[in-house]
Amino acid sequence: MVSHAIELGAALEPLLIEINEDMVRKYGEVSGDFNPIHFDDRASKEKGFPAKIIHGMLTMAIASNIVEPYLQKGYWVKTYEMKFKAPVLVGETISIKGTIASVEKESLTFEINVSSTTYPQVAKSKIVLHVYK
Amino acid sequence: MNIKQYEGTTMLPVSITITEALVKAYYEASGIHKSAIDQVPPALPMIFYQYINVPWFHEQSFIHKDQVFHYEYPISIGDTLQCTVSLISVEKRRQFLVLHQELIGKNVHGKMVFSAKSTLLKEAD
Repeated sequence: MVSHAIELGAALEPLLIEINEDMVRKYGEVSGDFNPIHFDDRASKEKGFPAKIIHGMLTMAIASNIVEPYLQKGYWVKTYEMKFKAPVLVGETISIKGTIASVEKESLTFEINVSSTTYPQVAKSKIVLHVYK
Repeated sequence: MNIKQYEGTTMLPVSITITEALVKAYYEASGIHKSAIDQVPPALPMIFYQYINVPWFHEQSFIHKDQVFHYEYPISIGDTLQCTVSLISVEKRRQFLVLHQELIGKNVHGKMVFSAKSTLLKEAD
């Protein structure tokens, strides 16, 4: 059950995003990270990947949007952590799902899983929000 | 490159201003379309690395394993932060070097606004 209710165990509205070459190019430009493993299949294969992969930090940039409805309710991000488990290939679609893991008087904690077409878990994440005072 | 020689090094602070154009470009790259920008995305400070000279990054390729952002205060468009990067530790584990490094942003009063701790892997030479 997906809702924006603030209750323990509530599932967040999932995000499904195809990461295309244009996004990877734009992330390279905005971050200054032009590592060839993100832009050149051959360079990526030399590092042991099947094809060019997206920036891990692009996954992190996208995934935080799952808590956007709560930011509109007067919360801000106190902590955001991510463990990268597997690569995401350019052109793959990632799915971001999350639940509310803890509800405190002034904070909410979310647990988030990111999966791809290839892997059931490419990253796992925790986000802690605090209320604006 | 002998990355171990930089263990414990903190680079000189660099002043970085968060502009609306920067935040817009970041959202665009993330495939997020917003009519109005009211908050700065929490992982945005990673793009500050491009403005800081980090000698152990020169011509090196890393695998990003873990990332943690922690905020003492929210950041906003127009804020100027003094940012430093430190290489906390370098350990050899099997065929990899494991780097722990930290990017810190402080406000004009010298108070820490955020920290961004990264764990990076590199194949050992």
